[in-house]
Amino acid sequence: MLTIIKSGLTTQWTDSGRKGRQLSGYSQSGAIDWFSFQLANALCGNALHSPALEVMAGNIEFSVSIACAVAITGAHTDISINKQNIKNGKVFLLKKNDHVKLGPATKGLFTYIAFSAAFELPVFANSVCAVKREKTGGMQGDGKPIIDGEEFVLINAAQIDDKATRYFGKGGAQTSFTPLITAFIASQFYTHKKLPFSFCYQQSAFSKVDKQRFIAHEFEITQYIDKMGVRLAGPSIHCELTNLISQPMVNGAIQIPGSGLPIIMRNDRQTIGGYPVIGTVNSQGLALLAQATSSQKITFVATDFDTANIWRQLIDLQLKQVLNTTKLRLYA
Amino acid sequence: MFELEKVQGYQYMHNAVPLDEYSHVERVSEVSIIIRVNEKSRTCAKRPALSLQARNARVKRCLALIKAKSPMWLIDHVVSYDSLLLVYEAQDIRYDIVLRFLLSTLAELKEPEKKKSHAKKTEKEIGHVHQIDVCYGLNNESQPSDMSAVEEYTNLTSRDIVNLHQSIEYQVFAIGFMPNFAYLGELSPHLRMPRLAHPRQAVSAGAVAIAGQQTAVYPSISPGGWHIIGYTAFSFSDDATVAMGPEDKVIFKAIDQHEYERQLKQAEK
Repeated sequence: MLTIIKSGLTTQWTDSGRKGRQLSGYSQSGAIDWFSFQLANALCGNALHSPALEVMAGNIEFSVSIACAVAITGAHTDISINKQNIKNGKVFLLKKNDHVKLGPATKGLFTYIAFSAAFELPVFANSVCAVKREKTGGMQGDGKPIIDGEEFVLINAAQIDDKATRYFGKGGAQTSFTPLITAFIASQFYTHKKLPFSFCYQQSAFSKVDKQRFIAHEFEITQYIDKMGVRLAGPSIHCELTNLISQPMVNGAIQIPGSGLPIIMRNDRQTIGGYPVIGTVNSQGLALLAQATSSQKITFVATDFDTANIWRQLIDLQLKQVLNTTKLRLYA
Repeated sequence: MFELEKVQGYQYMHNAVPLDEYSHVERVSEVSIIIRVNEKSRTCAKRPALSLQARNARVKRCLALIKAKSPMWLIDHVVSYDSLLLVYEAQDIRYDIVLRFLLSTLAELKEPEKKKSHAKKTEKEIGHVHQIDVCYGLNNESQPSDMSAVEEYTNLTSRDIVNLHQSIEYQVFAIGFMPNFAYLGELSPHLRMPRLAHPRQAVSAGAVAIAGQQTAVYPSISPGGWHIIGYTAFSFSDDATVAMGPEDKVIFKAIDQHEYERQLKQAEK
């Protein structure tokens, strides 16, 4: 049994999102910071897309009724087990009924918590995600986040043997990542982020000057930041198109509404939209943006999709390597 | 990639690749592409401009042709008026292979008239016709009606409005805004009117409404700016068999309040 004693601002189960339901207008959903989410699973020895907790802005307390490993990635928070502070532990072993407490997020926005155990979760469209706006998914199927005191029934857990205990040692396992992963984790918490994106969609309806302004100036993240999208403040970008027919929106699409201030669409967005789009933030950029908080600065860096894909393939490979070196298996 | 550049009329710029004179493929993210059908011909200025309905039909034809081959890598798709989004699994397949697949699969688009009858057949086989029973003009505290406003604007009696609304087998132009919200068209020209000046904060689930050239059913409670002309007990569930699909058709049938309430009770069970 997993008990969420305190659920903080918004805590939800997440995974890599729904598949095959956007055609009926359902959001894609899924972990906003797909990188930290997969890393947490890799550290626990889970399949990379297994359900994990997504905590917005920290502040969560929980306990598990069995011994298991827990990995915490993404936004930085103070972590304590039974009121004992844990220093820079990313993955550690919990004894039966240990009380884990995460403080408010000090850096970043979304924290991911993965367990070397599986819990009974309702599935909607092949995913455990809940979408508030749609009132779909989640424990009650109404899209609501986890509430204080909510309990989840255990269905399976990895065997914690002597080898695993030695591996985790005291205060968590020593995690050493490849330079690419280490550098990327660091860049997620820069206060001025460079978001790789590609010009596409209605890009030809923007003048060369406006496109230049778009990549030359920095934008500020406003307070309007949620799982649907992020609104930016900065130079106003003008689009010549005024009456656009609604078109499908992809994850990371940068919409330019009449105000000229960009909105970056995210996982819980609506499937179609009517504003012109200047380009798409690629998956690397989306993982960077996931840990951005309001009033931080960002700059768009133009790249092409093939370059973006190469980076993504490298990261995917290295995440798999992290998983392969974890000495723990849920389905051993 | 290099071979593709030799395809006639192909220009590797702005991530766009032409399919036929009206449509092209656009790369819109690492894992997705959009097929877009344009109003005007790219190659010949004298060719007729396509209506939105014709463009939407072409989009559906592309979808039917692609679905007929049921590619493994296709994990999701979205249809919206003149565009079709295809989402693939980047780990399973590369963009240039998807593009090659599309260029060969959609080669048929180039000779539109000859194979039209065949394509229409496949569309019909895939699409499902939803019959939606509507209690037109229902008006109470929780279910307001704009029927009188529509009567006034169109100069028609409510009976004519109901008949006109029922007279068409609607096609699904797009699905979005919220799950199962289908933009249905095209509405009779006599019923076309602008959206509400003051949108409602909450429109009840089952409201049947019209705006511009379109009509729709609100699948669940939501803000809305369309004119409500009736209510239905029909509920789109999360079950795939009653979910709205882009190839589906919709017909409306008038029922009285008794029947509506009976259906509503049945739906609750």
